[in-house]
Amino acid sequence: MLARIEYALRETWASFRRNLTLTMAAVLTSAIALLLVGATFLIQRAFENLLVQWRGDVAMIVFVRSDASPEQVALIDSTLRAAPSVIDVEKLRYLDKPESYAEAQRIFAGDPVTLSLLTPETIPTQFKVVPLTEDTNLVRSLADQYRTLPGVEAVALAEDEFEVISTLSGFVRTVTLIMSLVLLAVAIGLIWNTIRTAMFARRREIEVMKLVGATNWFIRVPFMLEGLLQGLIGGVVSCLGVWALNSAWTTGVATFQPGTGISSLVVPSGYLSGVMVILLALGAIVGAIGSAIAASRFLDV
Amino acid sequence: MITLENVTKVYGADTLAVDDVSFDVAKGDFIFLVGPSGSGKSTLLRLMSREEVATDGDVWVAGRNVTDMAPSRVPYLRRSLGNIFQDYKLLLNKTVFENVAFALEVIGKPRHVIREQVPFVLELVGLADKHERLPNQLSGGEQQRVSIARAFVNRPLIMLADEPTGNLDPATSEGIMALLQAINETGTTVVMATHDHRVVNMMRRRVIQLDRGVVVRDQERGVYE
Repeated sequence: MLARIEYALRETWASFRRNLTLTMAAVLTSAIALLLVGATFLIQRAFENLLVQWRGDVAMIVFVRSDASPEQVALIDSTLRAAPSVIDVEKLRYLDKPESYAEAQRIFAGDPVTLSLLTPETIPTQFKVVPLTEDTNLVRSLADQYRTLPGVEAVALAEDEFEVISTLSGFVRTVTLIMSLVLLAVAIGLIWNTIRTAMFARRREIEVMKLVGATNWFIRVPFMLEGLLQGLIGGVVSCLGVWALNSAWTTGVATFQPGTGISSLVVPSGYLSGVMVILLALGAIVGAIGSAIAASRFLDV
Repeated sequence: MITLENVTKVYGADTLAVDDVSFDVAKGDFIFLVGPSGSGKSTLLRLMSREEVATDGDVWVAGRNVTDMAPSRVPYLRRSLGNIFQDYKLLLNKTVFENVAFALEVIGKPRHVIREQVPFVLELVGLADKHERLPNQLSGGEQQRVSIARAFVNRPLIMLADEPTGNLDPATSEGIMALLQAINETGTTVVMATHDHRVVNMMRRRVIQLDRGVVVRDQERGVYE
């Protein structure tokens, strides 16, 4: 038994070194695929943070037309304050044109087209409303009521904003998921090819092994271990990558101003460790699948 | 030790390699399968080691019916067989010692058995002083001796030899035949396919002659003709 284990390990290592270029390609591809898988997990978790944080204090924004008269603004203000049981009057805030424009600069930082259409003169001013109630239907009916007030351009509900973020996160999830699945398939294919090549390089040895009565499993195991090892190394590399990316992101996010939502896009380290364990396991599975297919398919060399 | 009962082997759709062949080989026998190229000699050997499966009929080797043997049992059948070939099938990147040791290693024999058995068979085939050479540093006859050592190291019940002297000059062939005879005298059954008249006539053993897959002669103490 000991002799068998020793044989398998020795052969695995020898084959690993012999095919260094192909092995590197297989390892790197699985690393990149797994890195994407890890990124998918982290991004989803970050989006969830964002949604959870906003759900805590549902906000409503009443946009006031830029050409509204001061009387109209005063009417809206008093209407909002007329419902102290539903609206947290203490937290009610009015953003005038320069303030609204400054905020828009941040919101549309990645959208220069929209930004160029806005000027400090034409921008709508806005009331930021924090409701006291958890009843979104009540908030919604209030919003409908405010929309009819003179001078009101629109009423945005955070609830609707959530849907945008949810859609966005769903889109990102779909894209990254498809990309990582494709790359994982490519990784399996590359590991399969590496093992096939390794088996072809050793076809004379395999022929002799079969001739003298080595079992198929005895012949297969070193090749399967080799594939497993490739996947596992890919997993380790992807863990390092995920860790580095997350560290850079967390550090970068800390320099953002609080309250912009971005700062909530970080994940706790415990979650990161969990993702790393999943990546290692997934790497091993990818390697095992690729090499198992190759080893069972190409034993008759 | 070996029994063929109405064995037929068809390759592909209609290439008849062996046609209704039956014979017995008793334990300790030494037999020659002779005939021109394509007469079915090699196919018979491959049927015995189950590299091929008979299309029809039964092949019994060492008490086992190899025709309907499960693939997972085949390695254990092979462990009771020793195979040698015209082209030796040695591993060129391994030394003489490693080539012979490999046969024990891959069937999971512990190292102390390998350390004992390999020098013993190398001594038997007369290559004890060349155990560190690579196959390319040996003559053809010496390479065939290595392959015989590899086939014999696990003490097989049967030796299957496919044209073992095909690449060797007459003097060297005699040496190989002497070695096979010595192995036969230890009780190992030897089946040798050949079209080498000289060795057949020299040995005067049982001869089974094939022609286009059919047995045309089965003679004790025969010659090649």
